[in-house]
Amino acid sequence: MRVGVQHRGQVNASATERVFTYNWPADWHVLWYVTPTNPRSGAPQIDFDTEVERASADRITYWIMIRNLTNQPVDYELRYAVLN
Amino acid sequence: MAGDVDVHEELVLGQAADEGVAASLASVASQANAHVLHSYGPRVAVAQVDPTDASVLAEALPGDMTVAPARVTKSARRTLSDTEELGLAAFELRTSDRYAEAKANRPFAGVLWDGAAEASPPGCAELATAPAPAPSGDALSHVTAPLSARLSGSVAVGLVIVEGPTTALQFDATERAKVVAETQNGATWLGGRHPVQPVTWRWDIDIIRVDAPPDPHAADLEALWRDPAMAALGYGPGLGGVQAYAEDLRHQQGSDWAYVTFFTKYPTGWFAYASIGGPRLVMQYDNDGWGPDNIDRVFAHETGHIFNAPDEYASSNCNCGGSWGYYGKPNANCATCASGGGVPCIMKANTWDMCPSTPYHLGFPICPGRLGVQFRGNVAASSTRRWFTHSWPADCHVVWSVVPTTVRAGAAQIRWDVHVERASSGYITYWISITNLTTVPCDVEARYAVLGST
Repeated sequence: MRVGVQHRGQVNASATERVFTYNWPADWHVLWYVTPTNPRSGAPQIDFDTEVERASADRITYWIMIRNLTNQPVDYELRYAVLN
Repeated sequence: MAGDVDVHEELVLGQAADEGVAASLASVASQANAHVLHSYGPRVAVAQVDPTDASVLAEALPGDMTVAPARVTKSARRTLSDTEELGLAAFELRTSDRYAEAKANRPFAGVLWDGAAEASPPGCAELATAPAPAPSGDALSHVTAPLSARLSGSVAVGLVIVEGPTTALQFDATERAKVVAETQNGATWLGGRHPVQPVTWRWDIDIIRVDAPPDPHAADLEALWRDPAMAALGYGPGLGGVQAYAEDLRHQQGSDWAYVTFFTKYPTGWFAYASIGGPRLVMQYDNDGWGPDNIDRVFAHETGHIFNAPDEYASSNCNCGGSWGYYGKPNANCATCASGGGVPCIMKANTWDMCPSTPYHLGFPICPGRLGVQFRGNVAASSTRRWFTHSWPADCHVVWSVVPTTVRAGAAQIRWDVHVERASSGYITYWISITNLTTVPCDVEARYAVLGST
């Protein structure tokens, strides 16, 4: 198993951003998750969902939707784990 | 409970010197879910064990070993070596009411190390170069492997109490026991921060009386008493001799790491200091304005230096950069530049707290992979309930899943969604919303998987 950060970015206040990352081998078991990087204590800042596209027989594209739950811009990092 | 470090410790005594209590403890530890925290010679050890498992531990040990003895006879005490006797006296002191009272009334509790007008901050001495090898005439072998690269596994500590020729420079029995109790308390706390397994401390205690008259104007205040003390132990002068002693201790004790701690009443350049990366730590018994009741925390702070952690209080002139410790991480909790002055930490203040940076500096494993259940609960029919769980290290990759524990076949019962809050620079709070898709209440458990660190 290995983990990493695929992408860092910012989501505007109360906005949703969709990012995609492609060419992931289809036989890799990959999990995606997002964490804010600018501290703001008291309430959740980020919601995220993952959608998946089989781009070819052996490649996968992941689409990650990142929703800013606050009224201020939020910096985030998109993390992954390859489980196998 | 011994001391104020929120760890349940039990004393374990053996009778025969050739049957190492610590070794026997280690061999049966898994049966009783116990762990050796301290060993003082072959017959005295302190174990971390759940109170409900103490009887299991007692049954698993050889018959001549006693867990939590109600009393120790005078004849049994007479058979103990100096190291064993002091280890026993220290534990007895740590479990006493007066010790608990002293800890509850520490001077300057929670105060920044540079925030007490009546006390100086503990110092650290960075070595420009590694200590020179001892002269060949010492006939000591030197290896270049680091003595304190990371705080893990087992650590041999040569505790040397250096006395002088006058009464003012000598320690009475109470003070000697106090030194050992305080270092025991501080080491239990510091080693207990290890996220996988507490550190085992293997102590070798010497009380050395030297003839050197005190001289506050000596060019090298430490060498004045240290070199004669090291000579009494059979080692050469300078830090090279200290390093040789630490290396021998590591070999003799079979430990991963080693360093030497000196306590004295001789004048020193500062009341407490240590070399970054070892091999030695020096403390005065009076502990400046912090007092002997804070020796444990100053000792933990200085041991942090031994294992490469930097100071974090402002007057140390720290900055938030640099490359420190096992992972080469910056000093991000430095008071002069961290947001809001940073968070409480043993490297910054007189507190039993550790900031998110210090585990990196000490070389603790960060985010060891593990699975677990964080909480269990119930969600009412056709409703959504939200939980939060806080203080997850930000560098850890954590994923969440939820399963119903109420059995109901035929259709999906729950759905969950995870929202994320960066509560501080070092920690994350996860908010988990769980929706019950059915028309009857549903019990659930929220599971986590720590996958590693960035």
